[in-house]
Amino acid sequence: MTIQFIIVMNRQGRTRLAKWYDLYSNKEKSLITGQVHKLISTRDTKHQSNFVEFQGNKLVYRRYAGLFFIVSIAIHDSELAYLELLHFMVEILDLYFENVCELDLVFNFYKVYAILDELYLAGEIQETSRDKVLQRLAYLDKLD
Amino acid sequence: MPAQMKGLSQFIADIRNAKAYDEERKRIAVELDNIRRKFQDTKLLGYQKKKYVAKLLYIHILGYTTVHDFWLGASMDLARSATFSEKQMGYLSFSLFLESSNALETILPVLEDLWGDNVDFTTLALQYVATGVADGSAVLEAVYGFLRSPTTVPLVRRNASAALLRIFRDNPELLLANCRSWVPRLVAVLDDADLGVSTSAVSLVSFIVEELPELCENLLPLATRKLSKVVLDPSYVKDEYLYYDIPAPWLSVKLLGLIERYIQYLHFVEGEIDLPSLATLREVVHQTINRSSSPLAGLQSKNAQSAVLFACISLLGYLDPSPEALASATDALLLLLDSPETNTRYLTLDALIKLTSRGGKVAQENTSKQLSVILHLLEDKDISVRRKALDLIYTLTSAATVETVVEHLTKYFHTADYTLRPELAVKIAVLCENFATDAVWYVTTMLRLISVAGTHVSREIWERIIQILVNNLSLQLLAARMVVKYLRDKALSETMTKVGAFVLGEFGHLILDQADEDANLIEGMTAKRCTARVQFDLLYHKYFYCAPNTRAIILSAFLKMYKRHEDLRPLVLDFYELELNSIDIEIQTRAMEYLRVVTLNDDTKHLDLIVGEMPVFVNKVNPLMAGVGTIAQLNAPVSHLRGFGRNRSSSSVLMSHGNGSTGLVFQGAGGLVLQSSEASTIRRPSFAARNGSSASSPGPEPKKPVLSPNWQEGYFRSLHFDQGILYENTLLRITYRITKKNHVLGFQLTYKNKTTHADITGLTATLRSGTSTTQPAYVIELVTAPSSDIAQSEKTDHRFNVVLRSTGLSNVEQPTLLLSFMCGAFTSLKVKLPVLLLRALTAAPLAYSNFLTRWAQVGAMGASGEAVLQFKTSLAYPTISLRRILARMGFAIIDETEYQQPEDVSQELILGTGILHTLQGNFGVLMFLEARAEGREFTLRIRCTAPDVALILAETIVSLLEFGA
Repeated sequence: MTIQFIIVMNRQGRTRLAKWYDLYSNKEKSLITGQVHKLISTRDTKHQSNFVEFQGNKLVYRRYAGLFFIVSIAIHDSELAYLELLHFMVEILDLYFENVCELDLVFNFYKVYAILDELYLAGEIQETSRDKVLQRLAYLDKLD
Repeated sequence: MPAQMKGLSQFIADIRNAKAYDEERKRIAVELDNIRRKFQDTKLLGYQKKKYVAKLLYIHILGYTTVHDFWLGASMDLARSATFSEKQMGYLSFSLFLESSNALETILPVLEDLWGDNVDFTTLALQYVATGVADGSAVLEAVYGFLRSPTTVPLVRRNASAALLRIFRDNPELLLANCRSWVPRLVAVLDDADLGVSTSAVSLVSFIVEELPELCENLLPLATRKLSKVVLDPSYVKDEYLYYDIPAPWLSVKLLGLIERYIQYLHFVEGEIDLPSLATLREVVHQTINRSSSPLAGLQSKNAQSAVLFACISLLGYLDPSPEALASATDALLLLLDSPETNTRYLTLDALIKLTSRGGKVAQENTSKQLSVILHLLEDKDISVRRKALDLIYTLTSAATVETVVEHLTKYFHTADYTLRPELAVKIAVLCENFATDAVWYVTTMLRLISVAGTHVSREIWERIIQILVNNLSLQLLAARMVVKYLRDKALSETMTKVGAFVLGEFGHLILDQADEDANLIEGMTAKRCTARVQFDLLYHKYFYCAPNTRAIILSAFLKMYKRHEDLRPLVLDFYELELNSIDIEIQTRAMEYLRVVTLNDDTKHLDLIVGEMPVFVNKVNPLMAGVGTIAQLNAPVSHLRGFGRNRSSSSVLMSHGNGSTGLVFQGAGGLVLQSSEASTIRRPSFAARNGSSASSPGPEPKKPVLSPNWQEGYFRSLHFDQGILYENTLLRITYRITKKNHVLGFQLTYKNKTTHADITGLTATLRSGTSTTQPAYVIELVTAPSSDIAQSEKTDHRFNVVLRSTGLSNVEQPTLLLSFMCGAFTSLKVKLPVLLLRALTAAPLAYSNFLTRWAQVGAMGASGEAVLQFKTSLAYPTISLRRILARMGFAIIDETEYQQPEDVSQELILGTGILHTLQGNFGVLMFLEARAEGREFTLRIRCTAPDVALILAETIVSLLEFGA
C-alpha cells in the first residue's frame, strides 16, 4: 500500500478530512490523528523538511493557509512525488470550490470524499490529469 | 459546485456554533432522535434519505462513532437508487460506517451496478470495491472482465484496476490460486494508451510482482518502453498530463519504482535484464540526469523533476552502471547539496546514501570529493538533514578518508544533538574498526572517543574495544599506557574508568617498567615508574566516585593485581575488608567472595583459575552493528526490503582467523579484518516472504512454461531444416532462419502481422534460457530486438546468437520464446527454440574404411561414448528420405556404394559422420542407423568422442523421427 491515509487538519488539530486506506479501528484513527498533529504542528516550517518518519511510514505534509495537508506513505516511496501530489490535490480543490477555504471542506465533506475517489483509490494514485478530473467532477455534478 | 443540502448545512452550522462540548452533544442527540423517527416513515423521499444519511456521516466524522444500526436500511435504499448523487451517498456511507469486509449485504447493489449498463454507476461500484469494504471475491470476475475487454472505456478500466488491486491485496489467495493465467494480460495494461489507466495499472502490477514475479515475463520490456515514451518522447505525453511542464511525473516515478523492484527480483533469481531494456533504461537515466543540470524555475517543476531524478538514480545502481554514469549521477546530486530547500538537501543526501552504498567504489570516491560540504551539513538547521548527513558520511568513508572523518566526527561530538550522540559514537566505533590500518591509531582514537563521548558510549562499544584489545597482543601495552594517562584526569567519565580498570587489571603488568611521563610533569619527580602501586592508586582514587557496576569492575581488577603483585596484597585485602560493609549488596558479595578466594589456603590454585588470562573472544556478530541505526539496512541494496538481497559483506566488521587463531586480529594493511561475516552468509528469503504470503514460492528454478498449442510442428521442423515457419496462428506468423558458424547458432526470427485489419502493438519478445544459471551450456546474445509495433501485413526481425559453451546440454534445456502483444485483444505465445546439441553438428565426410577404424576407436571409450536405441515409428521412412533428414541434421552420409548392405533386403544401413562444435571444443560423432520393416523399425547407434553426448544426440534424432520429419 502506498498511501495509508490522508488527513487534512487545521493548526488546532481539528480534522477537516480524513481518508483511511489501511484498516484502522476508530480508536487507532483518533490516536493517530492526535499524534500526527503533535508531530507536524511543532515542526519548523522554515528550516525543516516536509517529511518526517512516523510509525514505520513517512508523513509528507504541506501547509496551505491554516490547513495542514498530510499524507502517510510507505518508507521507500518518493517524498517529492507525494508532496506534489498534495499540491495537485489542493489545486483541484481550489479550482472546484473556486478559492477553497476551510469551510468548504466542512460543509461539503461528502463532495470532498468523491473528489478523493477520482484522485486516489485503494491507496494508490489514479488520475493525474487536472483537466480530466475537473471535467469528470463537473459532469458528475450535472447528473443529479 | 452543486447546490448544497440546506438541512445539512444548517445542521453543520449549528454544530459549529455550539459553544461547549455539552451543547454540541445535545444538538447531536436531538438530531439522532429526529433521524430515527424520520427513517420510520416509509414514504421518505430519496433526497431526504440522502440528507439524513449525510448528517449521520457528519456526526460519525466528528468522532461520535457509536454504532447506530438504523442507517443501514436508508443507505441500502440510497445505494440502489437510480439517482447518481443518492447512490454516491449510499456507497460513501457504506465505506465510512463499515470498517471491514464483513458487509455482506452491500454486495447486492454492487453486483447490480457492475453488471448494469450505466457507466457512472459501474464506476461508483468499482470505487466502492476499491475501498475494500465489499466482498471482493464475489465481484472478482466482473472486475477483471472490465480490464480484459478492449471496449471498456478508460475511466472504467482505471477504476477496475484499482478495484482488482484491492481485491488481490485483501485476498492474495485469489490471485495465487485462480488468477495466475491473468497475469501477463494484467501486466500488459501498463502500456494502456490512457495514462490514467497506465498509472493505476502500475500499482496493480507492483503488487503482482511481489506475489508472482515469475509470471511477469513481459513486464520489463513493456514498462521500459512506456517509461521511455513518457520521459524521452516529447510528443507522447499530451498537455493534460503535463504537471508544470514535466510529463506525467507520477507515472514516471511509479514505473521507475516498479522496474527497480522487478530487477531486484531478476537479480534474486540470477536472471538478466534483456539488452534492449537495459539500453533504454540507461538512456532514460542518462537523459534525466543531464536535464537536471539545467534547473527549472518554480518549486512545482523543480520538485517534480527531482522526484524523477531521484527515482532514476535509485535505479541506476541496478543497471550495472559505467564509472562515467555513476560519476555523472553523483555530480548531479552534489549540485543539489547546497540547495536552499531543506527538502532537496534531505532527499539528495538520501539519494547519495543509496548511490554510494550500491554504486561501489566509484560512487564513493566521487562523492568523497565533496566530503567537506557533506561534513558541513552536520551543522544543518534541520536535525533530519544532520542525521542523513551522518548516515552518508558513514557510508562513504573508506580507508583513505577514515582518519579525516573520524577526527571530524569526534570533534563534532560536543556540538551534536543529544539524540544523535549514541548513534554517532557507534558509527565512529564501527568506522574505526572497519578501516583502521594502524593499531596505534585505532587504540588512540577509540580511547579518545570514550573520553569524549563518556556516558553516550553504549556498553556495546566499550565492551567491543576490550574484546579487540584482548584479541590483539600488540595493542595491549599501548592501551595500558594510554589509560594511565586518561585515569589521571579528575573529570573522567565512568566509561573510561571501566575501560581503565579492565585494561590495568589485564595488561597493567606490561607497563611496570615504563616511565610514567605524566607523573614527571605533574609532580616534577624524577623518572617515576608506572608501578603496580601507582596503578592501584589510580583506580583506588576513582573508586568512590563511581557507580556500583564500575566499582565491581575495579574490584575485579584488584583481584588480578593481587595475583600478580605480592606487594599489593595487603592493600587489596584491606580494601576487600572495607567493602564487606558496602551498602550495595552486589559489591558486598563480590568483596566477600574475592576475599574468600584469596585467603583460601591453597597456594592460589583457585585464584589462578579465576583470574587466568582472558581467552580470545570468538563472537561472530559484531554487537555494534545493531546500533548503527537505519543505515545498517541500507547496506543491503534496498532499504525497504527486509532481509532481501545481499548485504554488504566484505566491509562488515567481524572476526577473522589470524595466524591460525580465532579472534579479532589486525592483519597487515587489511585493517581490522574479521572473520566471515554473518552478512555474507545470510540466507536469502524468498521474494514474496516480505509480505508474509508464503503461499507462493517463486524459487529460482525456472518453471516449465506451458507452450502454445501446435508448437511442435514448427519446433521439430526447426530441428533439421535451417529455415521455415516456427509458429503460426491467425494473427501472427513466426518464420526462422538458423545459420551455423562453428559453435554459434545465428537465429533470425521474423514476426509477421498476418491480419489486414489490425496493428500489433506492445509486442515484447523475451528469450527465457532453460539452461542452468551457474554453468550455462549456452548463452544467448541479442543482436537486434523486434520493434514493438507491427502494422498490418508488416513484419519485424528478431536476431540473436546462441553460443554453445559445452556439451553438457540435455534435451530439456532449450530456451523458450515468450511473445506477447496487443492485436485487438491481448495475446501471448510460448514456443520452444531448437537449441540442442544436435543443432551444432556439421558434416564431416569420412571414407567407409576410416569410419570403421574410428568406430572401433571411439568404442574403446566404453559406455559413455556410445548410445544404442531401438524404436518404431508410425510413419514409414523410405531410405532416401532418411538420408536427407540425417543430412539436414548435419551428418555426412557415407556413400552406400562404399559398403555392403545387409543381405536381408528388408534392412537398410545408413552411416554418417559429423563434428559437434562447442566453445569447449569439437568432437567427432559417428552414426549407424539400421532401418527395418520398410522404414518403421530402427536401431540407432551413436558414438561420440565426448563423454555422455551420444545418448543426448540419439534421443534428439529419435524424437524427431517419432514425431514425423
